[in-house]
Amino acid sequence: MSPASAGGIAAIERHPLPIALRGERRRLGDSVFGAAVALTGGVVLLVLAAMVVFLVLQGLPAMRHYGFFSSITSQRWAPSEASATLSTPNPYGIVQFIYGTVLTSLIGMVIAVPLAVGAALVITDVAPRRLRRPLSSLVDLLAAVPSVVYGFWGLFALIPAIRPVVDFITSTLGTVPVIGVPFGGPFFGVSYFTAGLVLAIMILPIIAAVCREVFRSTPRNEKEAAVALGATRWEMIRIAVLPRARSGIVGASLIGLGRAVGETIAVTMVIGNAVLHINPSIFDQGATMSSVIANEFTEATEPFHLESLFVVGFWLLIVALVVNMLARVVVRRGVSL
Amino acid sequence: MFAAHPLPGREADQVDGLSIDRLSAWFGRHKVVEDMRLRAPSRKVTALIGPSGCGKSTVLRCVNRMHELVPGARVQGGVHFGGVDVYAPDLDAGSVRSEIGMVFQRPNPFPTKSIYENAIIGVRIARTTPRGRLMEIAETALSRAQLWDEVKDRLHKPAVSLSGGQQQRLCIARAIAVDPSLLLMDEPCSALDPIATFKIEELIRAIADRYTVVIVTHNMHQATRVSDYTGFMTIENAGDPGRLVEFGATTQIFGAPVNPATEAYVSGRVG
Amino acid sequence: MTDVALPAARFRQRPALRRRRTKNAVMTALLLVAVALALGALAWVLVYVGIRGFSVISPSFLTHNPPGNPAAPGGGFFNGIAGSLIVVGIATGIAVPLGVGAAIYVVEYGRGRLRGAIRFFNDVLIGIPTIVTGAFVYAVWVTRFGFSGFAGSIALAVVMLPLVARTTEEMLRLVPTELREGSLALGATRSQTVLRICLPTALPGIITGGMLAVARAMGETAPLLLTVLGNDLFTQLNPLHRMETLSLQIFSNAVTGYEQAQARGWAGALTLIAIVLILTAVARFFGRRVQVENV
Repeated sequence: MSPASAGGIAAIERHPLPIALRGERRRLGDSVFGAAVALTGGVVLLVLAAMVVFLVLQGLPAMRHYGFFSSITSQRWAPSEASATLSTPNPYGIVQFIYGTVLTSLIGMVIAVPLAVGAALVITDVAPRRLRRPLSSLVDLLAAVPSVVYGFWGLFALIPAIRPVVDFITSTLGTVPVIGVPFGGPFFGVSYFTAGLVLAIMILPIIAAVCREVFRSTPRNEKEAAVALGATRWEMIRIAVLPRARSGIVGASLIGLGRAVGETIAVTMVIGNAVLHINPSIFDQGATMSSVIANEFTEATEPFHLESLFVVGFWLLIVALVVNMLARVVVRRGVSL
Repeated sequence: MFAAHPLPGREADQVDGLSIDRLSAWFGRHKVVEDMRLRAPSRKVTALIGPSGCGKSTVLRCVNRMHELVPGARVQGGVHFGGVDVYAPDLDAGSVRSEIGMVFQRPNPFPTKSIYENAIIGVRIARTTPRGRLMEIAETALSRAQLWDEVKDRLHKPAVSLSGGQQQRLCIARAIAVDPSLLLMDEPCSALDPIATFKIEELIRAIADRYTVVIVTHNMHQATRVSDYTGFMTIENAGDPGRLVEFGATTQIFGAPVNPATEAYVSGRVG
Repeated sequence: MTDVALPAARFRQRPALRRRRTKNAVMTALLLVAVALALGALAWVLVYVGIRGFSVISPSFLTHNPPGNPAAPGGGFFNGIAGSLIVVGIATGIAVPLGVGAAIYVVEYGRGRLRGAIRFFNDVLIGIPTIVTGAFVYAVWVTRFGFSGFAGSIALAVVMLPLVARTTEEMLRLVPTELREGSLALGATRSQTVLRICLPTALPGIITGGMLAVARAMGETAPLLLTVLGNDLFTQLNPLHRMETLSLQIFSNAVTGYEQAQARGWAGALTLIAIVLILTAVARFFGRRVQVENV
């Protein structure tokens, strides 16, 4: 997609053709239509702005009561403590959810980015030409599988498959003092790591699709320059394709990250929803910002519980906005380099 | 090693030089070159001239095996350089291309790399040279490409900061740095202004004592200025494959062409 | 390599060639492994869901509701399937006109900053977590009117809108400028030009984009959890009430401990995948001449 390329009638009318004698009624109909499409265009901006406003409004009572930043400095989330009253409500710190979101996204990115870049390179430069399109469609198909199916599959197919490997890690590396802590057992199946793995599969096709477009935009004459120097295919990729694509790959990864940060149902199904505190091992159970909302939203009846979930939603929205805005800026710059 | 030029004793070698025998080339079903025969002598400049679309560039791309990279492209016939069959099954296309350098129509330096990095990129990937000697190689190559004096103070600036003519000379330096014996130039001046063109032509004359050069050009004056030998290619009708019509010393081709088609072309009546 | 080497020897003596070829082979193998892993994951998911689903699914699964006792065998997801079709149908009715309108504005009318802002934030909206969309619709709608299928439709419309706008925009951009100039030169107004020339020309691509957005909405679960809520027991076809959708039904059945409920979940997952894949395949078939991106 070309970023600033002007198209459409607007571009033509910048150099208007002499159009003679338009009737008043036609002009009226025309401007009504113009106003209508402008309005629909405005809906996009309106929805985004309304999201921020409504999430803040809903979370405001909790933010007021606990202090604006208190939730992101504490990891005590205890909606079910019995003694809660309106004046002394339960604590709602959300650091453990931010931690869960960051950790699972990180695991997903570490696995998905190299695989997606590799898959995209195969599609653009390595595979035999007639296989490129089908390969590309198949990788795209990974993005078509619904989140709830990934979660279900993760729960029943992925967890049993990775259990022997994870058990081995927890019983060897996991028993080493200090450096073994992030790999400690026991492994219940649902965990940060499992969620990260499922996320990796889910964001891989998204990153691969953007990378594919970026790699495809490498000018042919630069590839030929490399080949004419005697470069092997890998050397051609390394000197002609990848250096140009650097910011595109970063942007693609950010788009993937944005998706990972917000992914909800699959994560909720395989992370264990342990909300009480940060668990130090990646093989232990946890929760993310999105999973806690999905998991507790419809049962939030205690004072400030629902409001605190909106606070989580607000911060999630902020993170997603920042990541996605950054991604789009980087991708646009990358592709039009 | 790099200082090996000029290689003593090579002039005498009869097989030393480019010979193209009965070469035909296709894009899919479309035959673009037919029954091409050409001998480009060692350490001379040979020009290929002819109207556009006559298959000059394709011939060039058959020599360093770039033609086969186009999907559906096919080659038949023989290309030998220095007595070596370029299409020998045990010969790697990559090593052919290291031995036969190429310069393209439009300057195509790697845009993310510096002048210095562009000059040595071929050597870098070939891994033949210790890091400590890379600067030496860059200097030799850039000097031979007559660019050194203009860039020696800004070697680490991006290559795209150079003018078009400088970029093209950088591309020549990049090709030279790999230490090839044959340089193929595909209309190297077609994107350049007259002054930049003049510099490149001067440079081609200067490097001809070390390298065998084959240059494709649509500019007949350029052929007379830079080449020792000239081959004239043409197509009879649109859609026909290109053929070599006449080959000889440049002075003969332009002064006393034998074939009437050549005569018509070089005297400016056609094309 | 000696100084007097002939080209014949030099060809073969290019040193390090073996290492370079080995490296090329190794890297190529690694790249192929990346593709193999991606396709392996796809195959694993599809085959696994296929096997678990086919052992349960039957015609009656599509026409019956779950049994009152979740531990009991049999029954089906009729209420969820019907609910999904209704909720997604209404969402499509909201999102497509808005998305197409926004795209028309961006391509045919918009100028300067506003146009740039709409394009940019449309892309950003694609990346907003759908659970946040759900929470937003809860705040705007559910707090006033309660959980309902229609609330879910609004949430899905917010998910679909930017996808429709993006693909429509790209398709309109492919309409040749000459067509517009020709129409304008004949004295047609802008709106006539858009409605009679641009939109019909771009229609196949717009339909493709719309179908991909529908496929995406079919599988969405998180925002519906906060808006439609779910209703496992009986058929509710009135979108002004709490409904069931296929995705919600898969979710709730998957996370119960009852084996029979999970079995129904697999059949539901198979049904959902089938719907989504058919939509995607048909969309790609219609749009095979146009490149539609949906990320």
